[in-house]
Amino acid sequence: MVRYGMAVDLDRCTGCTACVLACKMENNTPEGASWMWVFMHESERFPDVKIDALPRPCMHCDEPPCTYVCPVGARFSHEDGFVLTDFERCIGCRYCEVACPYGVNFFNWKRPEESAYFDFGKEASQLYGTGSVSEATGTDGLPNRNPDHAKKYDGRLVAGGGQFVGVMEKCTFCIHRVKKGLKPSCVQNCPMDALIFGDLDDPESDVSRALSRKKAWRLLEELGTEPKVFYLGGRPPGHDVRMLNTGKRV
Amino acid sequence: METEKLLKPIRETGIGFYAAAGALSVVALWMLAAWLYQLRNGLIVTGLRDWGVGYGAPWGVYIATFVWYIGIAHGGIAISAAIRLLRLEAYKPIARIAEVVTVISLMMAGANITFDIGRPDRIFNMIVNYWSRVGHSPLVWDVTVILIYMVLSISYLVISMRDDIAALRRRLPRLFAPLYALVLFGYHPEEREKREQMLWWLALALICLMTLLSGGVVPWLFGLMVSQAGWFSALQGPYFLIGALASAIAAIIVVVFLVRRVLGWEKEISAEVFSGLSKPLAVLLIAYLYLVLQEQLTILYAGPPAEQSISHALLFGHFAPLFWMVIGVMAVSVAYLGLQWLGALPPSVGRTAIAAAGVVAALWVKRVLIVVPTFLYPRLPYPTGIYVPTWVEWSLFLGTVALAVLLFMGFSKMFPLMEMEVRR
Repeated sequence: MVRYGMAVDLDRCTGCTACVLACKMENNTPEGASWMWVFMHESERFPDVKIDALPRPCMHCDEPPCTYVCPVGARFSHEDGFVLTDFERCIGCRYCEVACPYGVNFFNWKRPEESAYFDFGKEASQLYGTGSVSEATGTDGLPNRNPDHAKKYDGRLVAGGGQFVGVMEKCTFCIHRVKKGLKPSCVQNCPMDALIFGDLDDPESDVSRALSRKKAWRLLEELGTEPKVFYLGGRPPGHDVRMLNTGKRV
Repeated sequence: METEKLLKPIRETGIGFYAAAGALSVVALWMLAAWLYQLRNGLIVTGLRDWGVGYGAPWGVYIATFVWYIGIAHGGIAISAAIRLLRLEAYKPIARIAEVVTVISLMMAGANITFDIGRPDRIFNMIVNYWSRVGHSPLVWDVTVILIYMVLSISYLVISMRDDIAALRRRLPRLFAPLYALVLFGYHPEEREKREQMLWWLALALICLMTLLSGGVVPWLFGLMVSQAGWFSALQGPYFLIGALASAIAAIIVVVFLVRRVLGWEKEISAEVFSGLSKPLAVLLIAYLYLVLQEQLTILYAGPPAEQSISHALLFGHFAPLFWMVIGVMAVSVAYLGLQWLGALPPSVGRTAIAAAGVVAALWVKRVLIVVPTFLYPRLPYPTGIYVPTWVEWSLFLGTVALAVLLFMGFSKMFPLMEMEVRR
């Protein structure tokens, strides 16, 4: 049995947000949803101003509050350490989003064909006439879909974004890549090797070795969620930091 | 009460009833249209968004309205059960009105949950997975207790009506005969003693359940969430319970006032009923204001920064106008009701009802202020959120109010709204 986790070396991270974009490309997440997110904030005053970047995937907690509150068991802990959502079971009550202190959950507010960066629903039919998208591309669903997302793991549909309207989605640690022996998309695309992924229970894995080299801390550790994402170097964001980037309201 | 007068609203329907029912039906149909629109397009048509990166609030008016209806639902049966258990004969005339308010409010609470979830078509997943989730999810506890409460309160209402329906059956409209047959299923004239025993035990069970519902599973939805600043507190239980009871008594005052006015039952429902109900309302409001002070002082004085920012937003920031409006309405109501109680002001049924209506409205806003602010001021350095309900949310909220009134009016045309004199 493995227990996947991630280390984020803040001494290496430059805040380039390549991970954010890689995640969006890989997982086809809807507009406005950032499963991977990088906090950019500054603190202190001139001449001591410091700028910090802090990547934030899902923490895939060992004590995940989101799974405890789920009324249908759609949000669950996988035996390999992933915290996943069963998109076919979720009823969309958003209690997991409420119970999560990290803000990693993204609800499908729109229908998938309208929530992508190009509106394959209304707008496409206005531009090209009805039905033309699937005809033109010869695809069954939306042409931007990664085919791996249709695959089920232990009989449950858990990978990829923009699946159904009215259900919750979040970072999956790219289970569809990890199960193939690849690294998660954000880790693969980090130009600074600031993101390190692997089996926390294996002392020889990249992530275990990185954790043994530097002192690690975890985000909002005091809430007892036991996150499996560890930060190396840097420091937790204080409450008085000034944000440099904002999200997107759909 | 005289049988003729009791049957008058059932046998005679005026133009005013049709006008009101027509107007309310239009609003209820509008609600249905808005809900279909929301089902078709997704919850994007509401003002709700993801908290954090999406700078919104994932829960808003629907959840606040759900909590509000659950609160009101206690009034009825709790008052009726208390009347039975404590033998408060003076309040007997309002017992059935109160019971109907409970049943209708519970239905509207359920409707608001259905509006809130993204996939109402999958709601049976909650039943399919019940046993594996009931150990963990406060939402499942809520569904459990609400369903039990609903079954018990409908049973209570139906069982308490059997005698009256049996006596009046031949004078009630034939159109609803199957309904009366259902209520009278297995009726026997000698069942009276057994029925009274059943009602007594049901009343006791409902009083206990009420504490578990409004002082338990509903506040635990919020109070157990360490994730959201301003929620995680053992205070939530008593805080919600007192708010629920206050809104319930206030709502009963308003409904009874309207029934009394419209049906001309000034003699049957005495002014003492109103002054009697206004006293516990005043006490509960004082207790509620005291708990608001406890809550705000705790998170403002000693709280971690995330908690402080919630209190700051409520007391001085973005939500201050709404917050102080709520506190103001409650303070004025409690001052008025208190002075009336002490004899410093002449008792007035109309003004008591106005104060009660203010409390009902204020407690709706207060529920929004419990649910929303914490999402807009997250612990992590996310942007400050915004939440403005859209026309869809207003339509669905006001639609449930219209539907509730419509259902009450419908009930008044089928069943007597007051218990007949107890016949020995």
